[in-house]
Amino acid sequence: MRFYTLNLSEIEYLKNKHTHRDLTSTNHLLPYTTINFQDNEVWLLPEFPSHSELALHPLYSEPTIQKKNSKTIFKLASEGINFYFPPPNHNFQNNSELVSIIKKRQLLFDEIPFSMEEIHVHACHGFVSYSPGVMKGKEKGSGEGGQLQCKRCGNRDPFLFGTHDCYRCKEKCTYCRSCLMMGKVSTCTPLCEQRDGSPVHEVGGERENRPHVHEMAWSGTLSFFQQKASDKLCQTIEAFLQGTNEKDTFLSWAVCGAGKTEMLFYGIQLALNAGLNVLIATPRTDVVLELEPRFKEAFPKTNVQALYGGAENRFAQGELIISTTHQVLRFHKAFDIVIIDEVDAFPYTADRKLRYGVDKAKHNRSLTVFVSATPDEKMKRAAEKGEILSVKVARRYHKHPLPEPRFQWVGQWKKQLERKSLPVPLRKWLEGHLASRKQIFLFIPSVAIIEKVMNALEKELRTEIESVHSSDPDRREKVMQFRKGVTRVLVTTTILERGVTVKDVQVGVVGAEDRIFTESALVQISGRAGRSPDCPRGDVVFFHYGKTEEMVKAVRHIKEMNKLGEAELREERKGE
Amino acid sequence: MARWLEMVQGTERCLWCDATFEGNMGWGWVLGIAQTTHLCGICSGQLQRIQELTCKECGRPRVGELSVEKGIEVGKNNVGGKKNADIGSGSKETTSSFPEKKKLGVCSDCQRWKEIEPWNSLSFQHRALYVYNEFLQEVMARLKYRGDVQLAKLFTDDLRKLGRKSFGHFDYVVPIPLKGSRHWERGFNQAEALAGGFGQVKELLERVSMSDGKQSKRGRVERIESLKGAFRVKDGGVELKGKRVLIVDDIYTTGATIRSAAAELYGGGAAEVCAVTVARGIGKKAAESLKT
Ligand SMILES: [Zn+2]
Ligand SMILES: [Zn+2]
Ligand SMILES: [Zn+2]
Ligand SMILES: [Zn+2]
Repeated sequence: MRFYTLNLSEIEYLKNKHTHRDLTSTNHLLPYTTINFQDNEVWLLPEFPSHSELALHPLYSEPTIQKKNSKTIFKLASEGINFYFPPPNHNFQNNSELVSIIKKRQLLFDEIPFSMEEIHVHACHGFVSYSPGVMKGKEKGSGEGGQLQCKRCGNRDPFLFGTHDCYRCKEKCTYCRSCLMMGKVSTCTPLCEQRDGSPVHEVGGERENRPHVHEMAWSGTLSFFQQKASDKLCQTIEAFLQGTNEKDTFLSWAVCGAGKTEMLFYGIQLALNAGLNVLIATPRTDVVLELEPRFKEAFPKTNVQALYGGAENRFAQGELIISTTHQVLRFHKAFDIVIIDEVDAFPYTADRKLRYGVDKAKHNRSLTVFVSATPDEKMKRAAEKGEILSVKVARRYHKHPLPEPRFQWVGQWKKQLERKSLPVPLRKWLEGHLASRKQIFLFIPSVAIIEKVMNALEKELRTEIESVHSSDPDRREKVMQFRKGVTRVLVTTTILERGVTVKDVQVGVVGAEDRIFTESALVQISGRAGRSPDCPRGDVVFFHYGKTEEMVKAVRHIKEMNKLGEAELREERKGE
Repeated sequence: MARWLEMVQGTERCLWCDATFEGNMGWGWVLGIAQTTHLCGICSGQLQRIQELTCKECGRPRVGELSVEKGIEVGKNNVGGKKNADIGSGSKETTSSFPEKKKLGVCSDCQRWKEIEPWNSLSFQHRALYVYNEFLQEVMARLKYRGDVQLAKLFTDDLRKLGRKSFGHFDYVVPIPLKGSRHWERGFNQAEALAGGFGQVKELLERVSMSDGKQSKRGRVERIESLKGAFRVKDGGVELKGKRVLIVDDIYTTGATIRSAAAELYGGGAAEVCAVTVARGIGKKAAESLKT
């Protein structure tokens, strides 16, 4: 779409000219007030599509406007033009549903279930403002023709932009392919957001004066290690409330199976009772679905909303939001505390998108909490140097060490698979565990070889075998069958490296030398074993055709954590 | 990395799944010999190119003997080794006669059309690139409803080649137009985007009216009725008299839409009207049989 731009004198001229005729029908496309209108600002008057009745609105037949050229919001912003948006008009009968949908969010016209006209009228009365959906980068050295960036998802990859003749703006329009599934953002698309400058909400206050509305129903007890992490998080949040926190990033580095969710409960309760808006963000829908019932149960009096593709009400407002990356992208200056669950080890782009979204979803002053078993190098270093706050939980809540992986060379396993047979060490390992009634997770590097692996397994083993991959429509059902113990061997791509917990499972990685198996992926995979206190041991084997640096680093990582855990255990015993 | 460098080195990104894959073009691309592939092997393997026809008019594919994009010949009736004869392969004719008047029959649907004005006296032919299978349905949905217009690139070159091979030369290429409000909603016209490979595109038609209700919900007869007069040749356009015109659209299902547009072009004086589409709907039963 395109906009006409009007400066202050043009608005005043039009308003005076039309007042005596029909105030409601004529002026409703202009701002209700021009208070604080700056010299370098313009008002955006949308050009309505020719099939719409508003295209015939008297304003558009004004010589002032007829003389003008309408432009896309991208062009206007690229020319450095600033837009005027009036402060909220509290005498205006606003559409409360529209106001609620837009609250703290950044949405496309097409996403808001109201007409373009109604949305614009809300802009006239200070409830909505527009900003460009795609912008040229302003990074240093990018010069005039800076790289394009999608302002919703942060995408800058030229391959993930498309260009076509656009019927809305009647010119060549460039759109973002990276977040297309959430509605199309293009150079002629404005993002609608709650007008900036809405009253800043007061947070904090003395601890004893705070209301205690967010009760916690969780009655479990934290382990010594969990308690330590929980206390540190609470201290940090308290400092944030007092405005005395030294850093605004907190890393909770907890091994797989440490019980990280429970470590968050007290901190979240503290934040909620102080009136803070809390977001838990995670790249994966699975994790959202797993966390939702746990938080709802723990906080029965709190409005907990889970947002993911396919959720019932994606525009719901809540006090505690649990959201996937994509849904985070729809927020705008909404949260004081953002907890990022398992941010690492995802495809780099997904990770970057989440961080971009989180930055956008945060208030100017906010606290970010990373929860991870495998933080990346950069974050680890920042934690060591004290550039960010951090706490390490090196021991699982059941106090047993992490199973340490073994290496097993299997030669040219791919060639063997072609012949529908398994490398001998792998077959023997599988047979051994199956004979002692153990279930097995078998990780493979890519979807492409699933069939070959399955063929070989089915030929050589007499048991229930199933396979899953990320775009498998029956994924949930298959995982369920494995959990129930019906399936004995589950072949999977790296999708199952996190989250899925099955008691007493043994873990094998076939082709551990593959590039996809990074240190963090391998640590996460190994972390599937020995989760249950009843069966804290587990066998983890990396079947490979050539040891890699990543494999070695993964084992070193696990051993170091176990050593640290020993030290912590001694500390605990001393305390008793 | 610069795109040309990527191409020379043979790494491409799949326009559908975004996976990186090895293109096998080498320097051929620079010399203009090799053609750019936009799909990785896994994705392109899911497209089913129409190889054999059973109807010379609507281009109905021979179902059950379809081969996939890779071109594995599965047809059993290739007597005399005439592979893909019906597509007119190898024909360089650019005369006004169709290069592929072989021994193909006419399907019952087309027989029925021949009983209706104006098809009792006018010719019509259509060809499609692919069977409208599940994968292609997904691709078309992302292109049309999500607006990923970039995906049109997957088809533009092949559509041009198909038009040229099947029907020879034509004067104008006409995309099926959208109604104004629908066009605004989408922001583009998919047929126009798909015709992007042709040089002689002319938007000669416009929508007149579209009766309410989703088209797909109605039966064949009602659809044909409702499409009468759905299009109009634009005023002040080019001279149609004696011209050969090629219609481009995304999907061919019953052919009612395209025939309605074709009738209008004939009414405007066109000498011959043909059509190409990306996807050919083959009906539920046939689609089921394909799955197995
Ligand atoms: Zn985007
Ligand atoms: Zn546009
Ligand atoms: Zn692909
Ligand atoms: Zn036919």
